[in-house]
Amino acid sequence: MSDPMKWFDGRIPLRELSAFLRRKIVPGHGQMFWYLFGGLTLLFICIQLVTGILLSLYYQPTPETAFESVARITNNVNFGWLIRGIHRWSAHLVVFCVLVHMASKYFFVAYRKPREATWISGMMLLGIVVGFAFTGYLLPWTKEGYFATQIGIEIPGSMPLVGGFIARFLRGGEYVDGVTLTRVFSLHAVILPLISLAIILFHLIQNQYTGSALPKGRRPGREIPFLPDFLYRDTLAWIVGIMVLLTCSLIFPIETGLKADTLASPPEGIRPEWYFIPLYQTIKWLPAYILGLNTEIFINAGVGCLVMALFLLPWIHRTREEIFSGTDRTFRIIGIAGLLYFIVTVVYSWLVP
Amino acid sequence: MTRKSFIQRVLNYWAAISSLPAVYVLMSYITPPKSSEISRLKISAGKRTGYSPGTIRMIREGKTALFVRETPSGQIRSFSAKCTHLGCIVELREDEQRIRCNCHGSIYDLDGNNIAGPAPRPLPPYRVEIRDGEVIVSSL
Amino acid sequence: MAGTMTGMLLNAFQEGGAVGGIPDIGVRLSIWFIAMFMLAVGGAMIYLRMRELEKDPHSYDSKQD
Repeated sequence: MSDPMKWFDGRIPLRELSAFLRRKIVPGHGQMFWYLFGGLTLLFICIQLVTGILLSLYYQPTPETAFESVARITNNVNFGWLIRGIHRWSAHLVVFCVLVHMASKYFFVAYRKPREATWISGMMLLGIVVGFAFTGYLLPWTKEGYFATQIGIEIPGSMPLVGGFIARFLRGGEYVDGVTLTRVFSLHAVILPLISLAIILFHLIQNQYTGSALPKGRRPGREIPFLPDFLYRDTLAWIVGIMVLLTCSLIFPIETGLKADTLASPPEGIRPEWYFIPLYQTIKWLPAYILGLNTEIFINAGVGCLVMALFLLPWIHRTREEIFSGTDRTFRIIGIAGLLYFIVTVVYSWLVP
Repeated sequence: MTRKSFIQRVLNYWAAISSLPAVYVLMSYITPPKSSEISRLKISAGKRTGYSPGTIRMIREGKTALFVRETPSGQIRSFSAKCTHLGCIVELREDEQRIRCNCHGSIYDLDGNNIAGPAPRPLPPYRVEIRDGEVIVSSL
Repeated sequence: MAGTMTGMLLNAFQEGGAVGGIPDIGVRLSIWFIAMFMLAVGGAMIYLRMRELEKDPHSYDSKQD
């Protein structure tokens, strides 16, 4: 350790932390590449935190001034267009990286003992990231954001028993208006950040404690120390990530858009963001009634079951494994089918407006 | 110099150099853009006939608060209502025939001269013009 | 006003960033090239440092130059 670092000895446990990170190893194998997506997700979340704070210096959360304040950021504030563009594109990248990270853990069967808690906290973080994206979309008070929020709240709102309560809680009332904006801003800028920080901390500590999982079936082999070797790889991945982010932000800047008109009908061809497309496309394909019942019930039940199944995956897998053989292969096929459905719906929706 | 320390040194310089544009962007962003508002004041203070010797009126318009006064000798004068101490808007006390700042107790006379309290200077004057019987107040 | 510290700082940072909206594609492409170059240089340096470490793991701790 260089001389300035000696001051910390006995005061702040930097040496101990460094030693611990030096002892921590990451499995080194052909599919090591997938381990980088956790760090990438964290990078983009940090970028969101910083650019979000910067945007909050100028943003005004009322229907009368929200759109204008964002327009001011885009057109008047020095580099405002860049900060806003980075925030918007980084949002897409967070969702993308979180989904890839989750998929890699699914296919590695990394959720087995002792990593169940890491999986559960990861699923919660997935929900929170989607929550961030959903709440953030309303804030500029544009046409797309307004209608996406209105329609988006209707879906959980149609759930039996609790739907009405959930919808009123999210809207802050009966309609999407100024009260909704205040509530959504509080969720986006205060409540979700605090909750996510706590869960991210837990998720990271868990990962330090249990180490990264080997893909199931792979024999333990080469091991790479986290500090400094894997951290170098992490840093290279971050540089690539920032390159992608800056390319999107600079080549495809975010335009001001049109202010929301609460009494207008949604524009033709309106669609949610890409990560909601599988649900949206499924709703479009299904008929209005199935077996005499409103399809909404089946949609809600289906999504509910899927979320529950994902949360309980470690136990479902283990229980099934005890009864049937070939569970790994079954789950892998289900995973690939799910992935393909996701990609097909997104591509289809893009090609067929 | 070894190869390893050369790379390390270049990395350090690179980190220092590439943080400069980031710092510049950050500092530029947080600096508020120049206001597009007109900084020159120009308002109408009503008809000349609305004033009589010894009267004083407070006018608030936009982001400005000011006094318009006809002195006992018949001259129309105008001065800012922002206390020269720390910028609070002062209060006209007609019953006491003086102007008071509630923030720290500065006292001015009806011509804006500072007579007591921490105010260091008189209330800054504005230019007054009478045009077509209308009192126009503008910055000096 | 430019004589004071506040004035100097404000002058330095106020007009920065092409006030007037999203800049032209030309300006943005220039920024893009510079940013990509800087990041590529950094990435290359980090990659080389990583390779050095793998060849000689004990060079991490030793104090040189």
